[in-house]
Amino acid sequence: MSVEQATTNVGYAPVSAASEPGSPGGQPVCGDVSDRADAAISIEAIDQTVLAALAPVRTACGSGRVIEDSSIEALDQTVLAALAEAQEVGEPDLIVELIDLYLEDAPQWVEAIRAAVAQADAASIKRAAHTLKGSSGSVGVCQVAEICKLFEQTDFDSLAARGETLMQLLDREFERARAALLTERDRRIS
Amino acid sequence: MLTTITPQTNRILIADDDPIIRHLVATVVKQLGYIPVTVGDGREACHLMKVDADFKAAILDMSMPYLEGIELIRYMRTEKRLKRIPVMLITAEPDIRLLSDSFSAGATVFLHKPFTPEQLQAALRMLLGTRSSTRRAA
Repeated sequence: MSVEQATTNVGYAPVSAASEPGSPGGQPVCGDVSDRADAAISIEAIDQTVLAALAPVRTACGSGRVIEDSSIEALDQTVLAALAEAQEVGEPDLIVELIDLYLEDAPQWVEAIRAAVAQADAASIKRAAHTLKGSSGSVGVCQVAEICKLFEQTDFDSLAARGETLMQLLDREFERARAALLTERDRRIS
Repeated sequence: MLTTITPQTNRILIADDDPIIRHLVATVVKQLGYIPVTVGDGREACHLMKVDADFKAAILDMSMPYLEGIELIRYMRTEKRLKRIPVMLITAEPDIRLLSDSFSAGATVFLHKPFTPEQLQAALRMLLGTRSSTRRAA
């Protein structure tokens, strides 16, 4: 079963759609979907959160069926542009350094989430997702950060039903993020 | 052995388990003319501060292994050597209660992740331009 099928079957849509152009304010997606103080929210609330974020795509599709939107960038260039402001002349490329650190560090958190999902260990999921969310947002791979938010907000009872699906989403978006970061890295050092 | 506190110290303690945030914060700290001293978790920060109070400010992540940022602040506020050090707490938690608790514990400035270098610079200037008793949200 594809990720798209899996997500559609459980009422989710690909989270990549959350940064559909024209989303409020044209801001980076980080923070748009679920900046909520709730420590744990219900499965219905998560569904509503995801579906609300995906509304532009559903409207654009017009059929209510969710499709992959390949125009959604895995890497938010506005975040990179902001980071570039901290670049000093004569110093190593800050963005390349941050990309290298991310690609070295982030996979362990993806695997930590996978292991915790397999064990239905909600506390470990939240801890790992929280860390990955922070670093992902910092380097501009905001879809990964968004999925981490969903992991953080999934309550224990929902974990069995949603853990695998979210994991599939995370795997897919993390691969897109890795590819985009490597492309950006190559571009900057060439 | 306790180190001597230099009145005009330029060192800023950065404690975060995320190497990306650590590097980014250290870069901005250096740009502003200060010397970053980085550690990777709360326990390491605590151990360091037990023997070294020579910091102009501290930038602490809220969620760190072993010892969270807010607990570190509480510890710092009980130590005469460390009381004077203004603290910026950074967190990815958009929680108003956390903000309130942080200020109650003694945080000086609160910065939400993810942040831009410009936002961090502004927060740092705020942190270094205020006394530790003055509390603001960045």
